[in-house]
Amino acid sequence: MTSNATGRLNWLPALVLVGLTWSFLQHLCSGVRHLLLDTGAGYELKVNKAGALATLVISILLTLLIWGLIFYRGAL
Amino acid sequence: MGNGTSIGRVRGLGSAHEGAKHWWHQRLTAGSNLLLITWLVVSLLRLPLWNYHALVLWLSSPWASVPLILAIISVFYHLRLGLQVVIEDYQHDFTRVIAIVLLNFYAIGGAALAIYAICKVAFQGAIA
Repeated sequence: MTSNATGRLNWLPALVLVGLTWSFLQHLCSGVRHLLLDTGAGYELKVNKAGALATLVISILLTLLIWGLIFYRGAL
Repeated sequence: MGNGTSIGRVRGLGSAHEGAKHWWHQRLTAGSNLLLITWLVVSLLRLPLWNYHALVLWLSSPWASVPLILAIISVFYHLRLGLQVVIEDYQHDFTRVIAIVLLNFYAIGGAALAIYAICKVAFQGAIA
């Protein structure tokens, strides 16, 4: 997965790993949202939609944070 | 149910009474997944180096290998419960039985392989 010359991740495996990270974090955020919904909170339409959109925003931000750190460390 | 012919009684059995346990274990493993995978991601990001020997050294410690084994058990159990619901929802004929058996084989087999790999690194350390 890494280049022999630089030791950095090649772009194709990096793209797959970023995609896997995002899909995992989307599942995680959606799961936490459903745990909150299980308590009976957040069923009003506007609140519910805001929560659904928030999972997308948070999962993208967390993906950027994780891969930003990896890039900052020079492994990407 | 209960008043008709014997086949009628069998068909009218209704719930298997395992749903609540299934539902609760899905939530329970969701919580343990959240804790254990957060620990895993933070631990990996905090490693000083990301090469083979750094990872082997990290995994040689019981403080890494034991939580990682717990994470494997939690994740594979969560996966088994979740995909069982998908099969029950979308597979209507006898193939659902085959699918659920295959799912169980995959979940237990995958977890066993992962735990074996963790133990091998934890007990044996780096190769050469």
